[in-house]
Amino acid sequence: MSTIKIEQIKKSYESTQVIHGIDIEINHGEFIVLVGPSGCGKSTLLRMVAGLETITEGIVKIDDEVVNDLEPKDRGIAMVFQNYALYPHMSVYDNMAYGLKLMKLPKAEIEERVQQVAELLQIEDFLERRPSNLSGGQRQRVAMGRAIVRKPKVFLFDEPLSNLDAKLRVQMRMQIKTLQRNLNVTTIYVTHDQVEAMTMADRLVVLKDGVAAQIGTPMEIYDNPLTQFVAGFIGSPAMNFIDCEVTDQHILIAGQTLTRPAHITVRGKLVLGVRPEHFIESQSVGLQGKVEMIEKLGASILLYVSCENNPQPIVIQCDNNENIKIGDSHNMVFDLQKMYFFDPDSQQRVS
Amino acid sequence: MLKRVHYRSSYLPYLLVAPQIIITILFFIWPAGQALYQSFLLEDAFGLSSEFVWFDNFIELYENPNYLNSFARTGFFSVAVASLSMSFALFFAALADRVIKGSHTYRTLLIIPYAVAPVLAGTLWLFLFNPTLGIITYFLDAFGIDWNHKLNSSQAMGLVILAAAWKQISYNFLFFIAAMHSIPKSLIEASAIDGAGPVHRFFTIILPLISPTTFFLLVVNIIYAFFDTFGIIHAITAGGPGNSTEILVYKVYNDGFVGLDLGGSAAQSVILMFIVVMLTVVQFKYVERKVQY
Amino acid sequence: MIENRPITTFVSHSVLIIGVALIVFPIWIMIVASTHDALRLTQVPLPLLPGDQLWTNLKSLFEEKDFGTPIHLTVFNSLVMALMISVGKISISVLSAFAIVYFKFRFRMFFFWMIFITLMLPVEVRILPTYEVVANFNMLDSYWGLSIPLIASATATFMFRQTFLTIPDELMEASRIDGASPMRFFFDVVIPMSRTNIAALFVILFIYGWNQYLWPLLITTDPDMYTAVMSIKQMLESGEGEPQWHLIMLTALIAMLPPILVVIFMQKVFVKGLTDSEK
Repeated sequence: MSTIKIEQIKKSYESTQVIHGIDIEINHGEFIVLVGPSGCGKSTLLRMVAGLETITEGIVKIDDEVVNDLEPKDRGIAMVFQNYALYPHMSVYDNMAYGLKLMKLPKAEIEERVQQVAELLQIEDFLERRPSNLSGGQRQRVAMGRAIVRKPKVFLFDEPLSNLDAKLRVQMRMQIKTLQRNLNVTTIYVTHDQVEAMTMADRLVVLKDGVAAQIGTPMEIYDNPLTQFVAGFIGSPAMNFIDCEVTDQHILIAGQTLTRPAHITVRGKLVLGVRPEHFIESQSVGLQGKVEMIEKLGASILLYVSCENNPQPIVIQCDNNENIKIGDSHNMVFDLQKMYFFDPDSQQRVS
Repeated sequence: MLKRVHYRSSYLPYLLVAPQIIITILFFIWPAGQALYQSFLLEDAFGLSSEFVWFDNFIELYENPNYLNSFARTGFFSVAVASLSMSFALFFAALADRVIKGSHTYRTLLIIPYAVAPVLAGTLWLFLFNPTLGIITYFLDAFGIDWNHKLNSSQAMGLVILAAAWKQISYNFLFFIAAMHSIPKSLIEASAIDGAGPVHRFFTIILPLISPTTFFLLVVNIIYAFFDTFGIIHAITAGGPGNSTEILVYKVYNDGFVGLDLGGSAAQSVILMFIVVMLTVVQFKYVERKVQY
Repeated sequence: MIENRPITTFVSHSVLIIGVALIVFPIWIMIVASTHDALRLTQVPLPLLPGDQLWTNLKSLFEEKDFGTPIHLTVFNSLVMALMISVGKISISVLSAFAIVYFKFRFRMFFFWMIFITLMLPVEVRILPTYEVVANFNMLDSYWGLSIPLIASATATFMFRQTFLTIPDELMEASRIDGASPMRFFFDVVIPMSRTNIAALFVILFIYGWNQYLWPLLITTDPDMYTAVMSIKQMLESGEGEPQWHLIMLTALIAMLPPILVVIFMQKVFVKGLTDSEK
């Protein structure tokens, strides 16, 4: 059993504080993804767990043992870096065996372990090669191999897929997830890619400006974002935000007046958030706009619809429909159950 | 660019820098301090007594026409060496950059002078220009030129310049060719499409683009001519005839070890150090600027 | 090359060949002179083609004592000095650069500047007081005296610093996670990754050390400690009348052969190291 407890972690560089007190409890075998835009502190947080950054304040526990002052090698962790950090002058075998040699394991055991992991990752054919003679995907697997071979209590991944091309990334995403499930090792995974985060995580931690904006399963966060930031960050294409004013009778939105649906109980100047996929085909009267651009994705299309008095075009995802043309006027009807209202000042969700 | 992460250790880094720091203090900082101190002393030739004379040694140098001449001579010498060596190197580099076949052979032959010790370079040229025996002297004689650098001071100066420039050609050539190789090929191609011929292209595209290297080499060559040509002069002219090839470094040696004027020699050392510091600062200013590009 | 202009190419080659021939001409004449006997080298015009006396001349350099220290001794001294300087310089600079790049410690910048200023003080400039220091340490006429004062070098330290700065930070972190101590990381990762730089620097420093002239001239008085390069001057000055040019040229040839061979055979790494180090 390996659990991780992160309690009130803070980090400052000289006078600037970059992490403002984060709490996360991670269960055994759980796959946690730290996601957020660059500069949100996700890598710093991961590196503090790894022991590569000192912890300014707070406690990190692995298996209920405080590890704040332990060297990285004594924490029972293994890490996969964004640029893989393979030793360029060592063969694949030596890269994987290096840590084991430093643990002073017997030679036979090292060989057995490396061989096993190499088979698992299907890299046994190039154990003798140098990293420079491998493709990006192969290097990525070697970096994973080096982590797995240590038999760590915790895997740490720092944007391991961002140097791969799109197709390979999707492939490796699945492989990592499957591998993690089979090995059943507690994992923290850092990424800025929300698709990666959604597809891989058991639970997500959405970070912004050194604060955990929301922690939950991908669907919890998708269905129930607590702030405008989280709502906009998670989900692709991103949620539309439209300024509006809700009165007792109406919703004033983009210069148009719609009848207030009964179940909307909030009032005042608010921001309405609607995901592109949450518009419905309906004859009832919705928001009127003009189709500005059409992006064909294949199975579905994205419509960019502009409304007067609304700076951004509204993005709508709908089934492929050859009848829609640029310049057409479009009737946008919201899925009433999937409307989110945010306070424009606090950015908190109000409905 | 600096490391984002560092090791923490209480004693290890000190242990690691210790050898270099100790040697630096013993053989660099301490002697330099000594030179500075001595430059304020007036010592008799046997080192029996010394007197603190403030800036007298410097004033004496300033008033000594010999020293001032040596200063001017060094300036002329270094500018001549730098321009001669750099123009030939640039010329060769421009040609070698154009040809594909055999460029490796040319380079191999052209870097040989780099490996030749200054004093040996001096000896070679001395042999070629030997007033009675030298092969080149023989040819010059056929053209009616009477060569004797042992008597003719401008010929002596010419010979040391030639030898010094010869030795430095390799270095300049390597840097010029590296600079030319680092010019993006697309730029050259673009100018070729614009209709520029090879010569025009060299002067309008290549030369301006390698100007940072040219400037860098100018400083390096001047430093070289100032300080690394001792062996050449020692072998060819030993400063003569008269003092006509006695450059500053040679004079420090001559006055200190031969003339035993310790205070005066130390004062000259201090001035030389000052010159090196100035040149190095210029060089690093330039390197800094280059980093921003 | 952009366009194919056979005539320009032909002219380029011709001019290059003439130019290279001029550059190599002194070397050629040296080789020619070292293969003739003393008599031939007193007759004008001197030969332009090699003779058959190389072996005889070579023997007299090894055997005869009239021309100073036997050549094998001076070459050995040069070799020891050049190796001590190059190996010594590389060792102390690689260590100090490692400390300065990978550690945070008090006086780091102070040490850095202290090393930096040595860049500005070539031995020729501080020659007298350095001589005194060496004399006080009783290091005159010794290999230590020949090499140690020349081995502190800011250039090498800077070059290694540059190299180390290009090693990704993640490698150090990965090695920490693998459980490597700083010195393990130094020997297992930093040194192997700096191989090419070390080799290039070795070439540059070997030549620098081998070609030292003024310094050995000052601190050696014992003929057994003379180096190959400085022995030339003795030969130029020794004896009555005309110098023994055939032997001088052969000595010069032998004295310049090791650095020339090093530079030619390690050309690739040398050229890269030289032109990179100044950036």
